[in-house]
Amino acid sequence: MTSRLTLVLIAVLGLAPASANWAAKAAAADKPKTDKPDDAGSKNDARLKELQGRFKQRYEKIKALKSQGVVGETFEGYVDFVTDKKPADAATLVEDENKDRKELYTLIAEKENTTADLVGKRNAKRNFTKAASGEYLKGEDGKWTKKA
Amino acid sequence: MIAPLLMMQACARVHVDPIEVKPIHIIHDINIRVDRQLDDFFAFEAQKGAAQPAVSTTQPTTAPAPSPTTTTAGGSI
Repeated sequence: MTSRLTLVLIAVLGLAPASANWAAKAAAADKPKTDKPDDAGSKNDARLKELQGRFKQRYEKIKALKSQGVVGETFEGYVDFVTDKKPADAATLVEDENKDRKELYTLIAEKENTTADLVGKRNAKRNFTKAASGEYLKGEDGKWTKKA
Repeated sequence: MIAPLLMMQACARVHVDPIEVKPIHIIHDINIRVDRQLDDFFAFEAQKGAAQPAVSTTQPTTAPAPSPTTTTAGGSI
């Protein structure tokens, strides 16, 4: 009788550490893993700030060219000339704008673990929605349409 | 005697199936995060748009002259 009781007690005591291990493993699995280094993130943030400044400087000029119908937004998220007529100062502005946009898309893509093309297309969708009446938009078919 | 047996039953292992995240949810999440990043980055465009005066297409109306303000001593709530 007592030996049987002893055996049962030993079995119970043997299971207790196993259940404690299981609880510890479950708690460890729930803990979120953070492996990303902070240095690359802060460097990207600094670069984004710098880019934002450049976009702010060009914003009014690009907006004026859009309202004049000289340039328009494309479905890929870039700015392009509507006709073959490309004034020299506007050409430089458009080139700088697109270069910075490409870098912006690359930085955001790295942050969100996706592609720059996807980021560009999401920005195009935003710009198409925000475009003022009379501005030109280039669709996937390559044709320019004037926003009503 | 019965209590240890009951305790053994309480220590039963529970097996949980792993949570499966469907691919469409991942794409939807990425789109939302990218849109948020772009909105934050280009927030200055909305601020500049709000700073510009709105163009009114209605005819100007004559506003009534403002009445002089009078102050009363002691107010009641």
